[in-house]
Amino acid sequence: MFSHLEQNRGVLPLTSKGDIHPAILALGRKYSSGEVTGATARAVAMLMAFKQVVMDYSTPPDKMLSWDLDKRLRPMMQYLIDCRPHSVSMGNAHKALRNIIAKSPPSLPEEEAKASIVDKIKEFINTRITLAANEIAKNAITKIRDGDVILTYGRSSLVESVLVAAQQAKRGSFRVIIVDSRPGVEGRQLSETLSAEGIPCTYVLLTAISYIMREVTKVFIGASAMMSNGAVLSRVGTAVVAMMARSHNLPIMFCCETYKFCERVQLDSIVYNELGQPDDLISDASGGDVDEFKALPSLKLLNLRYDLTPIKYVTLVITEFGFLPPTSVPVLIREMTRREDKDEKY
Amino acid sequence: MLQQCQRKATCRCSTVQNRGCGVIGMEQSYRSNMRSLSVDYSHGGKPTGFDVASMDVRAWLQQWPRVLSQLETLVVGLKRRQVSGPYNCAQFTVELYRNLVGSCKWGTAGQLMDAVREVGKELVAAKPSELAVGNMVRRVLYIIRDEYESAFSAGDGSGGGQAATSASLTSPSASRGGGGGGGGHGRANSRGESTPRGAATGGAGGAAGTAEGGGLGPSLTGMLGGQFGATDFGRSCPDLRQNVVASISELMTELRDMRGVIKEHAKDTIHANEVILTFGNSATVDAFLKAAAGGAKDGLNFRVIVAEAAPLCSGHVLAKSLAKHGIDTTVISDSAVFAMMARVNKVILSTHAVVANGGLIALNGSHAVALAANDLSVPVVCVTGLFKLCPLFPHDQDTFNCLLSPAAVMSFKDKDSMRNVEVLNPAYDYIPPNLVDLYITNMGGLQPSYIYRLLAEYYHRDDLIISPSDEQAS
Repeated sequence: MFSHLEQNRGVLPLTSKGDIHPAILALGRKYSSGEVTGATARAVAMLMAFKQVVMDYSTPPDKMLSWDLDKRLRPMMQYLIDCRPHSVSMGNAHKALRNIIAKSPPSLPEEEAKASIVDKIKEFINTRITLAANEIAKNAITKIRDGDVILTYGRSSLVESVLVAAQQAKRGSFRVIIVDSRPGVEGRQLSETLSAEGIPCTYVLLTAISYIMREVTKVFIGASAMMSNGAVLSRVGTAVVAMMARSHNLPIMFCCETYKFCERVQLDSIVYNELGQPDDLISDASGGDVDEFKALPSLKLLNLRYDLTPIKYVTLVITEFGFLPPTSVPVLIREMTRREDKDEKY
Repeated sequence: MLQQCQRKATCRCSTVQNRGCGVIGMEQSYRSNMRSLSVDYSHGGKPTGFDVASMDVRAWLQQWPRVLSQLETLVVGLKRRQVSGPYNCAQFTVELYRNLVGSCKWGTAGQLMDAVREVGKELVAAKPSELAVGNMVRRVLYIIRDEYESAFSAGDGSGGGQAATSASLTSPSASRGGGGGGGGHGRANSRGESTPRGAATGGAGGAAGTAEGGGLGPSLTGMLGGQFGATDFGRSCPDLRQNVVASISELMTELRDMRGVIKEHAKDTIHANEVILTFGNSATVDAFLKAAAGGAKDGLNFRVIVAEAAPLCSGHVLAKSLAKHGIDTTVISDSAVFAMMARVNKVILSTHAVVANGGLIALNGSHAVALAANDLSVPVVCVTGLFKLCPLFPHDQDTFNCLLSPAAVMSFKDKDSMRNVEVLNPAYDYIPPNLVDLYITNMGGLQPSYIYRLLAEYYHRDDLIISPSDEQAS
């Protein structure tokens, strides 16, 4: 069933291959070991590494910067993908980077061109990621009222900043329920952060979702990518949470920066997915013994990373441009592409 | 408010751990304790019958120390979760009752029923969430009623006058209708079968709790009205002990053979090359899937996806067991249930209890599985023995639920910064009947809307409420 997906190979050996910049090698290692996870963190780390590459680059004689640099970056991107399949956010960031490089005017002297590319990378991180997150937090906190019980799943850096912002903006007293699941248990980090902020937190595993859902008034979830058919690609389990919330008639709000919007369409979670380390599933609770599992030829472990939440479970998408119904995602994508072509500022 | 208190109690209670392996070990020691208490039919001294008004059941049972200690062992076992799971609870409860009926000198059938009820109250109070215990108490009461009635209905005229007619009525519900006027209830199902005149009379007879109905003579209406209307179960019935013990032994055999009967349906339920999803571990599901997989010659080739059921991950145990049997098994995390559902042909669930409306009280997390299946129109099949059929039903999630130790979700060793975070670990989910497509039971395949009808086959209407905690859920 999953033969089309590549099995996770774990951490790749750190061999210096050809022209790959050390910053990229170090980043690849961080990706594959899980040190850098999350759509935003991975995209930012990638752009920072490429910025370093650009700064250390010098155009060989007889070559044009925009052409040669693009060619040099391609194997590096491939290396990162080999370390861990790239997320939509990384794909979009890479596309933006190539666009920046391609548009670098050939007339500029090399140092100036490089400085301008670095500036534009910084600007991309700033406007599309950092400021976008602030703007989303500003938008989202208007939806939080006194007495709300907010449910979130796993840890999304965006949802975390929304909830922290809501607490700091004194939007009344609200409570947060953090639903988490094995093997990631990233929600623990979120509950630490939020309880440090003084927000009352409840922590449950995904199996308790039916029990806990009746207390909830609103659901905020982060997204890994928005598909242009309105479906949301996110951490595996998001669809379960959204489905259960929908069955309790609760609003499900996805926080997502627009750079994660994707022109692809997807109908189920199997056509595109990523497989995690199968051994992560084995736990101590059931007397887990890796060798015992491996000794059984007909026993397999499947550790999916993402799932697709269908459009019917998406009430609202909160972006830096405001609130969108999921049906408007393709409209926004078209609008953005048009502006990009005209090279307008957002 | 209540729920809040309950929560706090559970969150702070660090002593009661419910780790899988620990329970198994303790259960074995419990069993070996039980074995030493073999059935003792002899009793010394001058035993007295049980009188519910004047004595405590434990004081009465002191005349038979072995039965009393068996009761105490079971109560403690239930409280400490050393005895857990519907099958074990049912089995131990029935064993206790067989010894109680066999060993004690209880006097009349009515006194025996009082004793059974009082013991039942203690057992139910020990662990209200183990619904199978209450079910078995009701089954035993039903057996006593049934044996008492049939003793008189089968006898000559001297024993049971009009009662003889009840033998002519083969419908179980009707004959039961004759037996239980003692509680002062008219039975809707009995009246439904009678003529309008009979209905009126029968209803009155039942409601008044007298023997008036019997005055109509050997007619259908008289019987339905309850010629035992005033049944105090007080007549002497020499063979009752023997018959009841035999029936309880039959019940034990039924419990033991149940999985064998259920798994006979496996090959009619699963076809070749299917993808089956199941959740957590269950001996019934294990037997069912293995029966479908069969041997090398007649076996089916299908795939099983097991969702692990965190935090205890009992699914891993099932997956290993199935894989050892050669079934193509894949373990997934609970979060991947929705993602995988698109490729699943059938969902097979086990349950903790089946409630009166056809819904389920099942392992925590099952609701999400059933809902995902429903969303993608995948049939949900519940395999269960009917001893899990409970005549009560919940109005909310809390009635039959309990919170387990949060240590399984987050260990106490975890960081201090998590100290202010409330960690919950509920035990069960309620699944509404509309999410279940089929029950496969030891009575064959049933649809959820038919479940309520089976209640009348197993339990007497007057026995539904055993302990005060049942009242809010009846």
